[in-house]
Amino acid sequence: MTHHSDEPTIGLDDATAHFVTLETYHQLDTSLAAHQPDTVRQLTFGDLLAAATAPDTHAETIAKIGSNAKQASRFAALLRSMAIYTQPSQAAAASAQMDKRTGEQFDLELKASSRHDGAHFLIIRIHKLTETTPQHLYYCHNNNYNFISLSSVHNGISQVMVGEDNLVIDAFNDPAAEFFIK
Amino acid sequence: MTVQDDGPSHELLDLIRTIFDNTVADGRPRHSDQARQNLLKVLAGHSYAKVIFPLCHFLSVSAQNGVALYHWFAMSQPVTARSLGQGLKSAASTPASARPQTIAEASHRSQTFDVNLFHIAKHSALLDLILEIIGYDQLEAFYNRLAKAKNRQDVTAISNEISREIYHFLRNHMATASSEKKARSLRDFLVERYGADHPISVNDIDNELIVDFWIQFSLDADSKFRLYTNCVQNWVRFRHAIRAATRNQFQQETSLDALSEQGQAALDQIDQQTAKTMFDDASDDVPIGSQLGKISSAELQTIKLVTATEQDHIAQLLDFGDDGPALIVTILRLVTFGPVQARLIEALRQKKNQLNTMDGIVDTSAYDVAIGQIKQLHDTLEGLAKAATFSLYLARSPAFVYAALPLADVTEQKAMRDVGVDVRSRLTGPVDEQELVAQISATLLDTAPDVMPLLLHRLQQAKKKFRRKGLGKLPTEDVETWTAELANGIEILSRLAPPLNRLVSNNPAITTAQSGTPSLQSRCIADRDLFFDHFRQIYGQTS
Amino acid sequence: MTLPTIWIATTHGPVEVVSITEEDPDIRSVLCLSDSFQELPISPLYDAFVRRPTGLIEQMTGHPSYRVDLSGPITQGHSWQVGLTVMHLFHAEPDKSAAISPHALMWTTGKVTPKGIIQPVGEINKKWQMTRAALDKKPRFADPVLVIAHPANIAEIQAIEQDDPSELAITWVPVTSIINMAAYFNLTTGIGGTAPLVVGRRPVKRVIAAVAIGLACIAVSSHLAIKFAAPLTRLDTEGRYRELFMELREMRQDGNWLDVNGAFFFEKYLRHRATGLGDDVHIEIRLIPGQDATCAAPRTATITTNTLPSWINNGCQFQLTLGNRSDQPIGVWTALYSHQDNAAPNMILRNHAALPPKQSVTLPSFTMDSTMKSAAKTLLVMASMRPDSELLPWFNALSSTPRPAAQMMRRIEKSGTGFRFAQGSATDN
Repeated sequence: MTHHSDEPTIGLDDATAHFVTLETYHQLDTSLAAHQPDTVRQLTFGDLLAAATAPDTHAETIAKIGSNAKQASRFAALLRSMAIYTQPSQAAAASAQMDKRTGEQFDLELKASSRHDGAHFLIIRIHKLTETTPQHLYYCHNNNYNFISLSSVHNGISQVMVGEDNLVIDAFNDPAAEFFIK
Repeated sequence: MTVQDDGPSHELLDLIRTIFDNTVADGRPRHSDQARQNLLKVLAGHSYAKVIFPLCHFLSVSAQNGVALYHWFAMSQPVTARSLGQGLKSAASTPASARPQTIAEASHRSQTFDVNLFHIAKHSALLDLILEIIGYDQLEAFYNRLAKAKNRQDVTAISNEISREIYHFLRNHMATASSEKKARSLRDFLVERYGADHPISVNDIDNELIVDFWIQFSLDADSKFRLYTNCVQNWVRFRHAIRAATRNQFQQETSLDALSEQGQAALDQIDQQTAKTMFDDASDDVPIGSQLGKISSAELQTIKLVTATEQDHIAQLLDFGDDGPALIVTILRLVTFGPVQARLIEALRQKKNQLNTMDGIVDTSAYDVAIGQIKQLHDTLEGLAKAATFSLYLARSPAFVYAALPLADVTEQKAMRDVGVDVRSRLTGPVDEQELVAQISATLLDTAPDVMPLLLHRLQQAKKKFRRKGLGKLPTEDVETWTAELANGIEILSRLAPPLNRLVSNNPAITTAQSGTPSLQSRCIADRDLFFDHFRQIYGQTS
Repeated sequence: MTLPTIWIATTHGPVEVVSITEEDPDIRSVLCLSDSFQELPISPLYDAFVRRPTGLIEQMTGHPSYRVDLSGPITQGHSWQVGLTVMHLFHAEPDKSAAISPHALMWTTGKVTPKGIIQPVGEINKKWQMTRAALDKKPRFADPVLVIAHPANIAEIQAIEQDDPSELAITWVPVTSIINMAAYFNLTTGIGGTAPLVVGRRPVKRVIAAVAIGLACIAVSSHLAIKFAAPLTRLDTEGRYRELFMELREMRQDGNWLDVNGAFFFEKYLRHRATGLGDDVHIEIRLIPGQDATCAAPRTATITTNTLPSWINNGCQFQLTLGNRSDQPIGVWTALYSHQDNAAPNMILRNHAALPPKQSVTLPSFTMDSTMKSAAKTLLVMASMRPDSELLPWFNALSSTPRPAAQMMRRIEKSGTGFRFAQGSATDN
């Protein structure tokens, strides 16, 4: 047995615990160096942020988000946080068709084209404009997220033309749907 | 839920990899090397609760200043104390001309506290991991509560809740069964050798203990310690663990619940250490082993310093760290007999028998040769540093001065400083500091043959001896990269050389001048008998 | 309805006007690609071209919103304006399309100013070459081509044809204003001359003339009066007061005798209506008895002046009742607030009620805190029969200052909206 009095000592259990820590560290380090990312990649916050910031180029990510309840909840929280304007779920309407959704920050109105070819106009009336130019209208309907690019805003009004198959129409008529503008 | 069998799960590794690879808009890494290392340390040591506590204070300051949570995860700059300070400053109503603070002040009603943003920046990767594990929605809920926190207890309670979430996740994604089993084997051996109550020091794990352990455990076919190399690695790590424990580097988690008396005491300690950390920043060194990769052939574009073989050899020696000199015999055994065992295993796999020819593999002078190789490696590192320094002189790069100073002897260093004094004395008016440094560098370059003739001669000799790509000749393009690689390379080489020197210079374990110390040759012969005999036991005789 | 074939010249090739649809006035005019629901980015420019006060088309046709489907994209510039003006002219008088050869192709380019003046545009060579290339792809195209453009642009095309003649049967239609463009096709614009007051006021001018004569004869009938004020009435009915005020200002400043008087009488009508509505609102405030000595006796006061009863300053519970004395349904907005000197108002009560004729509503009770004794009180009530989208911001602006801004009150009254306000001073300590 060797013992040098000038070297500090420690209890065996403490030393063993620290060894486990170092060993785990080494295992993590080695595993990271060798690790090949899974082909089925998990969605990360970076993906949610990218989808919230530039939905036009991340439509696939938005679809993936919708298929995962946990990620959908996180995405909703992020959108609410980042949105310039929000419109929460409405009180249940007496009839299935709503022509106007009112909110504290903006109202939505849906009008069918007089040409009766399926075209609809979604009119967004923003009550109090901020300096930031709104670019997208996001909506959450049946835990699926979608977005529409907004045209320019004039006098607080933006208008988008959509077809009758556009999912925003179903969302508009669903009181439970949420809308965000950013 | 299936508990992870062993080691980090794919999901955890994917998350960490994503966090490490995260870059900001201009392509720079979001997290510093230190932040990444700290994440691994904190996970390995399960000491995240003690980091989450100051992180919660930071988030509380941020929330009270009205900064949106997502801002911290969408920053356009790498996470540093300065960029964190800028983020807080832009939200608070501070004058535009005010410099962003790196110590953020905040208050909870009557209690005021400081948040050291350097400390927060060093754990930025952990903050990202917390976000990924508990999700933006839940983290935002905590954030909103932190905005309304009235006192330290409120922050502590939230910190504990977050810590518990992380704990539950890691329980399922980072099992440590194999590490613990290995640790038990080592511990039991120490108990057997020294007794259960023996307070352990690094010197208790010596060359003989390591070989005895291997002899005991290698006969079991299912043992993880069949390879001598594995035994050495684990015992070296145990020595490191003892050093770390006595230096308190990896803090063990004593209590998740900081509201207990024990936890409160730990938190008080954190507060003190966190404040102290600011002053310790300068001493936070990145381990030299991680720097070795930066001078590899794969990393350097315009020059070549160490070869792949040299790099592997250096890495093997650096793994011993500060324990190298004390374990020099183990090193010699490792470099000599480790490859033999590997060849035996390979032969076994190919169903060939190498046992009969083992004796011829290891010469009696093998240990002398190994020591010689280490010395040569050390000389190569020093020589490359000098050759690179001479290259900077030829390029008239100001970096030459910084590189040359540590290579100069005392007289030459004084002469160099005198040049600086002389330049300053000839100033007639105030001058920009950077311009002054440039003037001094230019003067030194012009007068180098007079001021440091011997140093120049040494550098020139080194340049002649070590003819490697990019050394000794000014390139025609990309001079900036070339200069930077030389300057960084010199610094790393200068740090690599001393540990190698310590292995073999004045090492009593191999200095045969002392009585009682066997010669390297006799030690080699004894070890050869020991190892070969044991190899035969492990891998059997042939008919 | 069959429109003639109208091509709009672009540097990427001619774009055909496929269809035009009148849309709900709330919808902004759009240009979109036919067979898709893709709105073109220049739709806001088109909307400004259609809708008053900047737009020409609404002045011509009386309708503020259209959807036009095009065969291809138009990305920038203003040279589409001539083509779309032609289209709107024919759309307003569909029977006139029959006068055009069914196979004739109208090739158009040019900018139209708000006064209806047509201006030349650039890149004519490219546009014409692209058109010829498109026509070359049509086998045996022999139909007449009417080139409708500014004379300077027509001269450019003629020069091109002279150098490199095509086999097209071209009829040149040089135009310098929408008046002579309409005249060529025997269409009407509803716009006379080139003065701005003329633009879009052709239909208004007829009824204004009729009203002016009627007024001068003192025997104007209400039916004629309505016809005269039709566009103004429509703006008023839709609550589009900004545009209404601009219209009236233009009529008074730049109009002829008929316009000036027409605007004058319409403004008089609005003021009269505002006064009437203000009188039609019944406002009653009641003190609800309480335990405090100052609140022991019940009290009621009908607000008929600009002064609130002094007992409003007692720290008691009160209730406000609003009544509609008119025969029409009205919307009533109420705000009661206290304010110290020039500090921001402290809102006590804010409410909106839609009151049928002869109906009243009693609002929820409220308590005037005794600490408010030292603050002055203001009660604002606004009554209107019209949509509130432009009125509400004015009301909010009024109630956000300690003393209602006189200019804002005048604006509200000018819009024909009833307005009442009463103030109570602070109690001296």
